[in-house]
Amino acid sequence: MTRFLFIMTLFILFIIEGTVVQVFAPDRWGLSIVMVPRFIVVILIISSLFLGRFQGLVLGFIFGLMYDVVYGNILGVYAFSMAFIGYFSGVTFRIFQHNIFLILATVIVALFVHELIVYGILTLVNFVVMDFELFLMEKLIPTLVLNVIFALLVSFPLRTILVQMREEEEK
Amino acid sequence: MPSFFSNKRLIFLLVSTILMVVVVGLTLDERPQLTWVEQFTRDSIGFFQMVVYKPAQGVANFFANMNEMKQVYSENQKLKAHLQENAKLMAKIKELETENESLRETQELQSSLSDFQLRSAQVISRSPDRWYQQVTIDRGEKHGIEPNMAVMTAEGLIGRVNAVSQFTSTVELISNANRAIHISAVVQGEENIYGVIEGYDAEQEALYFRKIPKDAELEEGQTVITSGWGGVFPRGLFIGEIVEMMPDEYGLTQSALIEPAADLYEFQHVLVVERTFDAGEIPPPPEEETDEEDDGGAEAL
Repeated sequence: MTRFLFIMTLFILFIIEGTVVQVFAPDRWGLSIVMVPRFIVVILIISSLFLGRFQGLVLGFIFGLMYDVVYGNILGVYAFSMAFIGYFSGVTFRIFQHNIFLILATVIVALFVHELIVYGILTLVNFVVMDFELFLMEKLIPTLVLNVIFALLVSFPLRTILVQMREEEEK
Repeated sequence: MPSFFSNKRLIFLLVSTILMVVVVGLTLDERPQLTWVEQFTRDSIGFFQMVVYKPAQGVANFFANMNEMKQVYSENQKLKAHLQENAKLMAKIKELETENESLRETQELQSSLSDFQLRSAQVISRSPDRWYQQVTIDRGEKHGIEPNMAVMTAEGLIGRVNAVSQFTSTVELISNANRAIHISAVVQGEENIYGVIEGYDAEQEALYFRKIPKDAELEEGQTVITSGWGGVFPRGLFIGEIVEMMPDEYGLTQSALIEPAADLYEFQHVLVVERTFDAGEIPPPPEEETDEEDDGGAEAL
């Protein structure tokens, strides 16, 4: 049951990213910075800390592929990046789960890597032409700020849910 | 920490990287026809997006309205003044239209490049990462939308339909810098000056207007509309105004920057434009402008 609710939450966040958040996006108010909501990736990172790397891989792949189909055209970019992040966030020490600061640190590092992977792939195939410096200042840092705030908000309730889920599975 | 570069995992990582590169490579090109799996996913998620987007938009509009309230009085005065001019213009347009029609009849022309049919649609989502400058609208194949149709708001051209599924379709905005939509366009002036719109400058928020004949005299503030010669867009869709002129890289043609008339961030209702003119009977462009054809196969719309 908890598991079902968890997946539903991810799904709702998936829809909110493209609709509600876009209504309040900074570029709509004439700012040049871009804040990309990466709420699914944040939840994915935290959950694979608790549920292990394999679950992170599968969840990341499924939601990444959905992201590719719905919000993009090129298949495989987000499927790869999210599966990659889901897997490698799972490969951390268990002490990372107990300390909220360590969780946040993991989120920051993993998000940074995730954005770099997406930027890297899209630049490699020449789909995106953007200076790295511009990307760093206008896109990467604002994105990190937005998503770390989101991570701060959800990390406490999410941890309780994830611990509960793990216990249900172990029974 | 388990060593994550053990043999088995390294091979798995390599294989999935290779798979990813292959799939990205296969789907990188424009795909107007989606597979049924993609269509199904887009349509079913589109339904939920529709449910969520409208109330959110309503809330945002409410706050925007609050701001506007302050300026209503002065704006009203201005608009009243404009209204009188408008009435005069309308009368003149009416007159010109009838004249145009009668002239057409004498020339026995059935249809013109500027004939089109409009379908209204609502935006239901926008791609959150700004790598894809793309929005989804709530009209699809079942409503008669086809790939490559022009999409505009009341203010001007905003993009074109790039993939269609049954009940939704995605619109690629003109601000998509990388994969330039090539639009055959014309500057309105005493004589028509033709060129092609290729690409978008994100920093200056302006479109590149290239391949303008060298001897053409441009001015800032001139309006640019679609020319209809690309065979897909009708003639006469408003694109924007020239903000800057510059020589081309090789000095053979001119370039200009165009500021799009439409707001590319804030819009909810869009119009999908279907050209009703049969592409088979396009009049050939005049001799001087045919240098567009050797453009490395790039297709102008």
